[in-house]
Amino acid sequence: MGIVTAAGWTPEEVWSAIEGEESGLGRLTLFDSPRCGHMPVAQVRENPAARSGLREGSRTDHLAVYAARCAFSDAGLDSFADTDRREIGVVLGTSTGGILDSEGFLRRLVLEDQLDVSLLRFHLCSSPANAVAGTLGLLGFRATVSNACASGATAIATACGVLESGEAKIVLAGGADSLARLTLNGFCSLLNVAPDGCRPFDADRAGLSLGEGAAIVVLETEAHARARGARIHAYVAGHGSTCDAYHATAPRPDGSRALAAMRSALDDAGMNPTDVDYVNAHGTGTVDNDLAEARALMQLFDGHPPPVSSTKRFFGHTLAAAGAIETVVSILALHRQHVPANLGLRRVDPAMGFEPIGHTSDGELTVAMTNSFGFGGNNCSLLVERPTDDRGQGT
Amino acid sequence: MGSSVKVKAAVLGVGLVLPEPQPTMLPAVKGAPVPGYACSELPDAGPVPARALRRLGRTQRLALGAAHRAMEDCGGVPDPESVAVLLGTGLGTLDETAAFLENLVEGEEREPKPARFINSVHNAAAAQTAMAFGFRGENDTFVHESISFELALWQGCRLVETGRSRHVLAVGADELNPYFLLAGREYGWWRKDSTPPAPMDEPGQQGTLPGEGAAAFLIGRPGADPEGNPVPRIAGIRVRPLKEESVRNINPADEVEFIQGLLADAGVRLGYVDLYLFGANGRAASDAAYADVGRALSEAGGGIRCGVFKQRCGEFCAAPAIGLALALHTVRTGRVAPEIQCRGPDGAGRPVSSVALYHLHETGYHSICLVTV
Repeated sequence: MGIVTAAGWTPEEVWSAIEGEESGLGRLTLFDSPRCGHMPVAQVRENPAARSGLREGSRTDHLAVYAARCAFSDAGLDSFADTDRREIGVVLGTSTGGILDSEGFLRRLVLEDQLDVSLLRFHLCSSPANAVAGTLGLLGFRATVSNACASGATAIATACGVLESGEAKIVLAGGADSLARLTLNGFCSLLNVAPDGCRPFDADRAGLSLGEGAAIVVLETEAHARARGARIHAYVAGHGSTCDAYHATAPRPDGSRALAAMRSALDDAGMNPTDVDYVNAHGTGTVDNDLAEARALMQLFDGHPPPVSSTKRFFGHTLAAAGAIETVVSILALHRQHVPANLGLRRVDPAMGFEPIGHTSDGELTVAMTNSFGFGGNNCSLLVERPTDDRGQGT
Repeated sequence: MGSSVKVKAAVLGVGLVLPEPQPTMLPAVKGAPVPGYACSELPDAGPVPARALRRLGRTQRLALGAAHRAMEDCGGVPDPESVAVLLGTGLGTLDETAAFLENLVEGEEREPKPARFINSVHNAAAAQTAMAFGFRGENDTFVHESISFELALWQGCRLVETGRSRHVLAVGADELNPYFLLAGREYGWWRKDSTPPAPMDEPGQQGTLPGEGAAAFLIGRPGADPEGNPVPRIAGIRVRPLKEESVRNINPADEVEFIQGLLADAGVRLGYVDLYLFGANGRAASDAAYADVGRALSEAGGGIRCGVFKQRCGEFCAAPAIGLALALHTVRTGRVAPEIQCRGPDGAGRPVSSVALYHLHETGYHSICLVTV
């Protein structure tokens, strides 16, 4: 696993922030924004280009390559010969790719009448996946998914299909997105950004907080992992995807298609709701999203959900990276046997019907569900399972 | 012969939105206009009211038009709520993204337009399609440059094959817009004049022309048509990065092996294919590579018949979807679609029941898709 967020550059640093209940939200310094610059954001503080080892690329490319390098090493793939690397695939999610550079192109064109098309060379959303594959010498199946805020989770689900179909034996999957004027101003224009930071499931929640980052997991079939003696962090036990087909931005209020995605993931895993020990909610902190998700959870778990938390106040809403980051966080929770706090909670909205976990606390966790929902009504639920003694080594 | 082929999915409906047949001069953001194949009128989008349509981006409207035509072609599905939408687009609704950002820059962020932002997300076209037709199954948008549509089709076939979705609407859509025209002009992709390119027919061509369009395909589990009509089928789809850094360096024998690999998985050989439909577009480097592959295929398969289609629609990321629609029209009717120009032997009127759509993407990928009846 590889992860980079405003809360840390490694799984250990990220988990330390969760244990210490330290939010990654802070001041925006990456670019000027006259209208939205005062909004707290979860910005990765050090320049990712200094750590990625990538010669040139967009900020999103650097975040993705950094996370991929970490995941690659963590999976013991550094010693793989070039010929074996050719069979490794890459499936990434991104919502805006290199738009930060493209914004620079447009500013120069509009404000200075200068045409600098070199600033467009990282515009395509495929740029992060290509940068990852190019850096690591991977020539297997390659794809980029853009399902808005469900992209990272969908990339992991898609990668499972790549493995099932035999298109690749190993796939690097996850998501990456950098902060950008487009998304910051876009969400501000929708009045969806919380001036004092997101407070998922809180009665006074006032919107989301944007973040940036990347997370990548190395996926392979269990047989392949065992054959090469790999350490198995977790199993992707199931995944399910649906669409609201309701509104371009608002979720279906009754949460019925989100519920269908969760049920589909459980069916895929051959599990029952009672098998789920923890839910890492999408929980953006917007009024409508949290309520729709809560309704779906209450239905799925017959009014008694297991521990639920949204970790968005740690990392901000990292858009296409969110589903991958939260998958890694869920796996860490399974390993540490701790439920991450729903940071920022002051007074639970009684309409939710359940109490999210206020503070990071002990738990007995074998299976976690992580939800990702996006613009366009895209819903993707993943189930991750901790290896037990008879199924794997764990960490 | 057709009975031996293994099938991934049946094609139940096809919708095609082609640009005008003749290129016209189109404005780029800055500098000289660029010739290209544009849709002069955007298509009817069925259930979407005209007022709502006007608020959508161009790629969304192209996708909706193709989806509407595909649904008309198939006459509806029994359970629309379960239909998945898999869409491939290289650039998404770039006009909407650019308009939102232009407004931000010019107005110093004073009055951002939320509708433009909503339309700017790459999955906006797939989401609108789902909303328009009430499709509530999986909804994925692939955005990997020129292989975006092939990836969407691959995923669609996989969902059908594994039973995760009973029906899938696979869509490819991309728009022409002034930034795409500008970037291509600056990078030297386009021909200088508006003469239509003649892929693989004009030695030393130095450019193609940009285009736009969309195609949609309703696919489902293979089965017989209740009225006994021939059902076109997708027998295989594969898309991979090239081993070589450029199409200039490809080894034609490797490409034949790539094509043979897919055909073998479908249970057939090179000679089974009645027509190889190439994605050649008139650019010198890739046309030469296609020609090399064509020769290698002929040597390995004992003579092949090949055709091209981008002289009809121009080049754009989702153009392989246009090729697939033309391939399906060909196997449905048994006659090569009029939009396809044959290169080499014309087959002397023999019916065409199988087409292999082959792309050698300059961005470093190759893809092969076999359709048959």
